[in-house]
Amino acid sequence: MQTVPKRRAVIFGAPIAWIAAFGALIGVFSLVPMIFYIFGGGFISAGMVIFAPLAGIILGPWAGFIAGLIGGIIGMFISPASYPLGIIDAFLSGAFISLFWGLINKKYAKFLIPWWLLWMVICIVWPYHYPGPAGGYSPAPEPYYTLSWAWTYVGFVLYLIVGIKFVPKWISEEASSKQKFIGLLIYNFAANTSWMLPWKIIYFALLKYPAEVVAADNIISWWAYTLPMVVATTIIAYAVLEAMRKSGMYRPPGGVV
Amino acid sequence: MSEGKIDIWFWAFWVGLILIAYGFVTFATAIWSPEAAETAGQLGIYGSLTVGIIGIIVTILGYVKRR
Repeated sequence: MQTVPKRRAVIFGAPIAWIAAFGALIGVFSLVPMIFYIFGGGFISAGMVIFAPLAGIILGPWAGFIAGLIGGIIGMFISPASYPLGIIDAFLSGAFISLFWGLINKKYAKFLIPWWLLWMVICIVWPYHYPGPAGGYSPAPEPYYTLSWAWTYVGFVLYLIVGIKFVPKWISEEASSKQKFIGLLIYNFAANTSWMLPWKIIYFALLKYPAEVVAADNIISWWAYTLPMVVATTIIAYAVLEAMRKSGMYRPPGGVV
Repeated sequence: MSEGKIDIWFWAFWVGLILIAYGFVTFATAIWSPEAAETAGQLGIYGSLTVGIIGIIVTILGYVKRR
């Protein structure tokens, strides 16, 4: 039996207390390292790998976005090294994670598909082709540069082929354990490969990375960012979803619980 | 794990799984290059390994106690 909140203190169907709690967890756990960059110099925090995706999965994209933004702003103040771009990072490394993870839910496909395509076009065109050298950016070596974003093309095709039709069934309560695990792997892969577009390109553009470095960073993204983040998020999301379903906790309508 | 009451061992099992995922993924990335190991430091490497081992113990305890 589900425990339904007695009061209507909800935003987009998610209890305000849950949004605040997720925001606090994302913020506090920005101090805890989780994925160390392979070339050193920093890390992706547990707040970004565990709680921001969970906020999107459990609360849905809109409530998750609010939780992620609260977490990003808290994290920006208590762990500035994790948020070097300040308020921009509160969106990129906080709110956007929850947003993209929530949007992978089938019911938001009509919003996600054009949103994802828009970021793909932005990443290919801006800033290395337009404004390009005129704006102080090195010219992108083609087709190497465009192909280096291959993980997002793979994620997008996977989302279109199985993410909309099959993954919702595979991650439902009635599915077998194996189906749930595979379904969550695909879900998290699609979320990760869509979210990394704005996360990366805005960093690269603001810090004026050479296009060759961007392409090289994109190539290593497969195992340096996507692999550990997807594996960790899948195991943790599996445990949290199972625990929530079996304990009969409230299920926000925007999420996938 | 699908049957039975919701008690502390139910949560121990699932929290233990989360600790395993955190501990071993963090440990793996902390030792995957000399630069990463330098960033992680001794605390990052052995701390994450310890969290993973604690996760295994807590998961097994939760599983056994609920059987």
